[in-house]
Amino acid sequence: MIKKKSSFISHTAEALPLIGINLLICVIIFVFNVVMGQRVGYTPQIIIFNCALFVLYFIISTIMIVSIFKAYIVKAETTRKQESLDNLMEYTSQIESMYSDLRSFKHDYTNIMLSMAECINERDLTGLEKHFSENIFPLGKELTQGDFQLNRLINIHSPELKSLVSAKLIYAHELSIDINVEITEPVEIVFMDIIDLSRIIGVFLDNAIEAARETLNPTLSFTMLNNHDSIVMIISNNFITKEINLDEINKLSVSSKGSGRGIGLFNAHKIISHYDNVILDTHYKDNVFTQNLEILAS
Amino acid sequence: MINVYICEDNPHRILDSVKQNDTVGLYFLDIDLKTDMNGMVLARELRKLDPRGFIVFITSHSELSFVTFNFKVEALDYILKDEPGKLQSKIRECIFNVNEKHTSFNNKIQKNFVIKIKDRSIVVDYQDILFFETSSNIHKVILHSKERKIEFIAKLKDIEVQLDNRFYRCHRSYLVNKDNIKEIDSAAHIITMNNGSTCLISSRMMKGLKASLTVSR
Repeated sequence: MIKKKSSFISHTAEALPLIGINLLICVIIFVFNVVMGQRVGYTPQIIIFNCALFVLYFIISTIMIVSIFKAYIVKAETTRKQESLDNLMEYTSQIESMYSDLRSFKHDYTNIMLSMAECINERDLTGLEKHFSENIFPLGKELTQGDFQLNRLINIHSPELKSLVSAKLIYAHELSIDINVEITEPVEIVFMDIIDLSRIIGVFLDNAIEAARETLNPTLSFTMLNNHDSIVMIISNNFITKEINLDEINKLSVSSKGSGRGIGLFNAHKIISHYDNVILDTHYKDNVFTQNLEILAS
Repeated sequence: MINVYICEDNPHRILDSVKQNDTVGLYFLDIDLKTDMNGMVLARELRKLDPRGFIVFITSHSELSFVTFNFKVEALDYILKDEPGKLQSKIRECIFNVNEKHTSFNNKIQKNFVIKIKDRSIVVDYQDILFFETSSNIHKVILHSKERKIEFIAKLKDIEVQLDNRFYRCHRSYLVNKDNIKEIDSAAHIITMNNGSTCLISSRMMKGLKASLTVSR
């Protein structure tokens, strides 16, 4: 129940203008050939022969244009799939490293318990206190430091979306952005094409990261939840307080990062407009900017 | 007058009490109630009984999901169980906040526009609205205010009848708040709003707009 034209057909339809121009040029040459041919003194046979050649040329070139387009689409899709795979692998290795941290902690735990048991057996309270504050308590801090709730993504059931979000959040974490992830219940994306959704979320997260980076204490929050039978995704970030015109930022080639950028939000809006059941709420208050995307059950 | 309720184990008692009382309340709820009803479900029930009440969740660091609390029941704030040192100041902060919000709500009842999405309502004061626009998708309307741009499923003609005369249907796709117009370019048929955003005006509606502007100014 995905309300959208097949993307394949709509992409091939983009070749139509090109084919149209090709046809126009052929027709012009065609007519030119007939009119001037008679003047120059070509025999009717030659003119007909030439016309046949042009028709043949038109057919061949149209086939070529369509083939090239199709090949291009396939290549773009392959690149996208590869990116998605790379993201998933990165996610897996992050999870694996968390797991190995956990295993070594479990191992240390036994030793810690043994050492504490010793002190208790001998009723050595001062020794116990010293041991605890010097050796045991600092361990806890070390353990939670690198942790930024990546495991909460487990509630996103689609690998496409999960890999994209994890890649962006890992990137944000590396930029020292303080991240808050809230996905308290399992979320299943049914009423929207998952690739479209991933693209939109990718744009929103990129923008959120870039804006937060400009602040002294960058923060980013990513939330997904079920609201009866619709799904809500909320992305917010802090930004250096200034006036934002919510229409301007959606325009093409508007970017605080210079020219040649700024396609992101425009594309995101284009995708959203294809869906009757997807609504976007953009707002900011004080110095927090929020994108709230809701996918309604159709 | 605001009643303060604290619930850490018996949700049904609090619900009974609120049903009998009709005042706005400030509720401190533990997320984990250890009974058949958890804190979130209780909060939803309370929200139905007391739509203007203030809800504060008491939770631990690992269970904290403030954006989710806020979205589902419009929670005011949260208090962390595992930071007992900050308890007093946090409670004081909440009470202060509630007092401020409650008095300001009572003092100014502005005309406002309510967007309903499922059981959520988003309220925007008329004076903050710049204009409404039909999006490129014909089923949706976009409300533009200075700090918000929100899409919702509606038709401009249905909205038009709800509003007052400061709103003018200047174009098939635009419904503008005259009070927030900065300038009108008659030649290009473009209206520029206070924040710089633009909307279109059809030639047919141009005269009507100018006339209504001169009358009100």
